[in-house]
Amino acid sequence: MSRGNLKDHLTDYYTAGSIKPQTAKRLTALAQVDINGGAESSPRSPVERWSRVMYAAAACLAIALMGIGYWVFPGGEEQGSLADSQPAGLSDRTAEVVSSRSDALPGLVAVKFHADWCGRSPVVAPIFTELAEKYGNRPVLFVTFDITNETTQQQARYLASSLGIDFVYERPRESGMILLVDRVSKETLATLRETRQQPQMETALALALPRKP
Amino acid sequence: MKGSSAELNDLVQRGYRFALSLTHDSARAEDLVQDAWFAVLKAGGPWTRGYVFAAIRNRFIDHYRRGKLVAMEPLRDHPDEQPGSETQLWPDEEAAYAENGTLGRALGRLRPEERAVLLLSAVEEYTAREIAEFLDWPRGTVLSMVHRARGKLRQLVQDESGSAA
Repeated sequence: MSRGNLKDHLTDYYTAGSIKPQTAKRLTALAQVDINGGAESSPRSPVERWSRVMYAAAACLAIALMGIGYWVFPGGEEQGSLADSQPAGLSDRTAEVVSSRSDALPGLVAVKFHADWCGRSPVVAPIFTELAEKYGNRPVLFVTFDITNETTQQQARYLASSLGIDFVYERPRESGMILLVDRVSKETLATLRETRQQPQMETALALALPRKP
Repeated sequence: MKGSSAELNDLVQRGYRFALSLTHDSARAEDLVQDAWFAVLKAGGPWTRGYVFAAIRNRFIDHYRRGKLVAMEPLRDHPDEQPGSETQLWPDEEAAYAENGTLGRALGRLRPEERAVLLLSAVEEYTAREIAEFLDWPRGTVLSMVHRARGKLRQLVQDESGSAA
């Protein structure tokens, strides 16, 4: 037993844990670039804001490269078909890969959790498709995990394991959501549950992707 | 804010603790902080506690309450409320025993806004006026909520300790 007043116990409880160090470092870097990139007090135009975001992306890339593996992707060639890219033994339904890299797996993975019975799944599906079309030629893997029933859930877990993203199951996952995860650092970079979070998901993608040469 | 690494890291950690008080789940708290941080980034700041906390609060209400009305019971203003004064939110407390996990379970039985005012008053040591700004509540409501949440938590801790014994 520990003795102290309630205030002390609350302080101990809430200060015992903290946000993941890599997440704190990434968020701090983003804000730092935003602040130190300019000190105007006047409202910023959308173009100006997005310019600052892309500048922040360059700073974050420098930080990310310190500790994260760097993937080099061949460009310009038609990518493999769905059958070529899915692990053996999994149904098309579960291992639906919208776009994939043929050689090495990208570090970034966008995962859509789908269920037939979920009302939200059809809402996020077009967003997922739009993102895949927009970033289809960038080093990010788009994968759908079907969690409709126990069979498809198990298959999804096998796929997660083969992709090295088991960590997405460290907490229960809802259907009708999209996660952007980093396979190497095992971080969840962004979560989308509603359509209005699409700009934030795109920001996270833009910041996490390597800068185009 | 000058934007030093240490200041911003402090803001992230305080934001995380605030999010944790609302969600009572470390993973959801981290998601919430990231969502709010991107929103502040897109808005171009300001990178102040008030703005970041408001972003976290708004996203909590939007995402985790799914548009349901936040159940705010009508509270009378605190009987000690005096205009212009700053009522001490945590006067000298009697000692309380707390097993590992007891406090966590007791906090889990509070409402999110009750946990939030306890965090902001006891841990972050904000005044009632500052808490009122963060939560967009009248100051009297903050005083009443802190008073009630403290009593409720104390009782819950005793209940949890008694049932664990």
